[in-house]
Amino acid sequence: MDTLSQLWMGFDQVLVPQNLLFCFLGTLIGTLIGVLPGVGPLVAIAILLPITYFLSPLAGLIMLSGIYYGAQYGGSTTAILVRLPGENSSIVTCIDGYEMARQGRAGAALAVAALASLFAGCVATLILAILSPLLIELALLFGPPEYCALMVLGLVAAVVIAQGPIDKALAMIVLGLLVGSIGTDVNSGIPRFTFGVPALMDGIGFIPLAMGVFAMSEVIKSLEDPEARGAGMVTVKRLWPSAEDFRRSWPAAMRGTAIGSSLGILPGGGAYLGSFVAYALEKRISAAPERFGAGAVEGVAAPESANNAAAQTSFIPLLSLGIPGNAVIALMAGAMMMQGIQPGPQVITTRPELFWGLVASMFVGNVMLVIINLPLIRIWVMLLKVPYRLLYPAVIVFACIGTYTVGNNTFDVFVLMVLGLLGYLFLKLDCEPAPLLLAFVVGPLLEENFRRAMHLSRGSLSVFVERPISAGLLLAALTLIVIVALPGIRRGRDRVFEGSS
Amino acid sequence: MMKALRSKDALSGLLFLAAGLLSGALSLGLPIGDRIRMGAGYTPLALSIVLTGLGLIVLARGALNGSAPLTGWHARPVSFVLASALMFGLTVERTGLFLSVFLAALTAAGASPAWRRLEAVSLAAGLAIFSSLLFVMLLRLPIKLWP
Amino acid sequence: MTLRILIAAILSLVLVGAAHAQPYPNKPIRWVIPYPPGGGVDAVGRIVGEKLGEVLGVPVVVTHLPGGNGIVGSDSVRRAAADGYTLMFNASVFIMGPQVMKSVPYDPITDFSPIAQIGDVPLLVISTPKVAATSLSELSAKIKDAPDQFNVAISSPGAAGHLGTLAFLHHLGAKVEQIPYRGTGLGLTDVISGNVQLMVEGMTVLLPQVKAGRVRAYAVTSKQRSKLAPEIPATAEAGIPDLVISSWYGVWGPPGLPDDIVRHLATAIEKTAASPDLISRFESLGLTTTFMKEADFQKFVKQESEQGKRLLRGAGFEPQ
Repeated sequence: MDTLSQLWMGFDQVLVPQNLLFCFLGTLIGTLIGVLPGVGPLVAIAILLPITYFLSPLAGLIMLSGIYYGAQYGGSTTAILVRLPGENSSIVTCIDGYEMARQGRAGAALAVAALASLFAGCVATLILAILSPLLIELALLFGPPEYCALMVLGLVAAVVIAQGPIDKALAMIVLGLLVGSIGTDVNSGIPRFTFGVPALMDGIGFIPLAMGVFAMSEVIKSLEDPEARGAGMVTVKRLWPSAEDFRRSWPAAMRGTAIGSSLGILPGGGAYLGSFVAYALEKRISAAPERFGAGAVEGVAAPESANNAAAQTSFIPLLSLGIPGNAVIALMAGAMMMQGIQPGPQVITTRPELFWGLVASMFVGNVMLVIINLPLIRIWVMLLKVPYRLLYPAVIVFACIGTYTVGNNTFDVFVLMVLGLLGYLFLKLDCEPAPLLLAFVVGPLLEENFRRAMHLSRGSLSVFVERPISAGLLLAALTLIVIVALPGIRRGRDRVFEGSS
Repeated sequence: MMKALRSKDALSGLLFLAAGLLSGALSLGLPIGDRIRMGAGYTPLALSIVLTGLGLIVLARGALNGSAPLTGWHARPVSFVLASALMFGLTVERTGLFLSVFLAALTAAGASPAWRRLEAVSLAAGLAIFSSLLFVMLLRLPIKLWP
Repeated sequence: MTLRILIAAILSLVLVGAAHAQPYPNKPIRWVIPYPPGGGVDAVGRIVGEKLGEVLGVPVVVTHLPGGNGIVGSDSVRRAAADGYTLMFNASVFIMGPQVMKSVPYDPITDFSPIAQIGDVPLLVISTPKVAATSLSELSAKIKDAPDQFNVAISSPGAAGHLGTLAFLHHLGAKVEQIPYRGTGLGLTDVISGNVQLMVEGMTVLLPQVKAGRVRAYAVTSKQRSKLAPEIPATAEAGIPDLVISSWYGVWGPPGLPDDIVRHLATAIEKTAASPDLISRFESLGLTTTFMKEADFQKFVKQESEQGKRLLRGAGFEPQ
């Protein structure tokens, strides 16, 4: 009841013209930013941060958070249309979303992504409103060994996602972990694999990596086969999802929401894993796992709901503890600091209008997003009718601009080029890039937490099994890998025989 | 034997093997440390060993069973697409965004044989105008627009 | 009255036109923050940049040049034209660069034109609430008794928090495991949850957790108690008078910045530091507005650098 009346007070704050306007602006900018490859919410929020200096703290936060979760909506658009993930959350969406688009079902994929996101956004916001104080205590149970076990579970999920033989998937994961270790070692400050280049000291950026191995390589591949995409990509069969699509999507969206919401709470980077774990779960429990990778609508609904849910619940560490869980949320903490509000556990009691106003704005914003996005789908799908040769230079140029703007550094553009070549090589060799990308994102977290756990336990590996949460997570990972390994090896053999015959 | 090595899996194996050996060699130059206070090279070295091992497995499987052979290399798309990114990277800080996008898009056009010259130039110009408007005017990204 | 102002305005315009060269500054200033957006330096840097722009009458454009723990951005400022249109906002960790990283291509003391210091923040010595000590001396005794039961979180090598930690441990003569973190947030989370026991870090981030009772504060590393938390004793009262250290912020320019520009900027920064809006925003973040000009600032930077060097050497810390 108390929560309800406070939430009501929050709506009171939001439903005034000024705040509604900034909520709309934020979600609109977020959608557009999400659609623009490479220009992610991080850049957008960094650019708009100075403006919030002149707004009321609430209006500023409403707008910035709108950009953040709006970008999660928009991010799936390019992933589906041109296999270009702008955010790490849309890597998985590339797999089945792009496949659906190639089958002429881009509209359905986009609509499912939008609706799954709406559902996840609302549920996760409700969780944020009601359970934050409780959930943050749970998040605090996660120490280095728990994070370590969680990351291992995430990597196992990446193996599940991979299509080909299991040894190749494992090798791609290890390669991803190694690529992730490029840069300054946190513990000692020693540069690793940087060849003395200062720009590499912070490691390879996610944007050039994702753009390189997904988008650039896809452009090259499509151009090799000019007839397939010569005049318009495909005929668009139907714009909206079918009843069958809905039937398949909604349970997937529910599960995705549950996974995303729980992982988003963890300030140590749990949100990254949401879409991967959700996709892996769907593929695992599906009666027909072979549909995944061939345009399964669940493969869009689950990760999209997971990443949107995680985007909402990742506000919990900031709002109830004052500790930002990722770079974008850290910017929002920066926006609060510029207003002279030091984020911390007391904000919720000293500035209740800020907390509840923000929560209420998330409901409003999610609804606005669907209103903005559904009509846009028609336009996006029309874009696919443009001959590919007119489209691909734009993809390349946007990938370059997006990469450049991340750090105002041309070196990153050269990195993009090299990684484009590598991605092309992967495509040619049937090496799936998605596990590599997840490993790249998770790798530094895994290593840091592993070293920290060992340091704190003075070298005793038993911490991983003595602490119940970590033991449980590792057991889950072990179970999953055993289940995967058996049919995985078999599938690998089947392929081999196909190839040699 | 050479034919067996040309299979996709065997070549992937070689790639992993090479990457594992290279990173392994580089890791050896870093302090390794012990299990309590791991040095910068501890995990990279361990990962390199695992990658080398996996590379050998994939290579052996590919060479023995012979998966689908690697086919269809086309030099034109690869070189022009990559050259386009190179062009952008080389020019953006010297000539500003407008010319840089124009040149990069023109280079990209080389990747497809279907372009007519005038068409390519006008598309490149259009893209340059569009991105200048969008990124510099509208989004106000701190990018230089002109030389 | 209005007419007179109008005439004065026109006259001054004509005069300025006659003088031909417009005085510095007459175009936007690039305000380089060599870190990614978000985080303490960014927030403080933006507040200062915003106000400075108002004082100077030209836009101050925040430009983030992250990379290599601040090396990439700082180095680009060093190589920029010394015309006063490229300035750097940085924190005290900047001057310790070569002491913690081998790859720093510049000398932060001689390769830059120091302009002014603006603002500093003392550190807090905190522990997880699971360590049941009531005072700094009790905490010190517990650490000395069983140093192996303690771990201390380090958020960034060479930063004030790291130096403060080393100074504290040096005073105790105890060997405590130092657990490195990427930034303050995650280390603090582990202190809150009790995975790590100790932390010495800037007050800005720690104080909200202290007030919420999630961590226990023992002392503030300044000569006097802080206005924001008068209940926390200063280190001198708590028995370690030598432990006075703060994290501070400053403005630098490329080497060889002309004296008149440096003076112009220093005066503008002095005005900025006196603005009530800036003071109140600083205060709510636990920052004190300090102001120190060219020569004083340069002297101060040298002293700080020497003191930091001594602490790091004393702890056997080698640049990597």
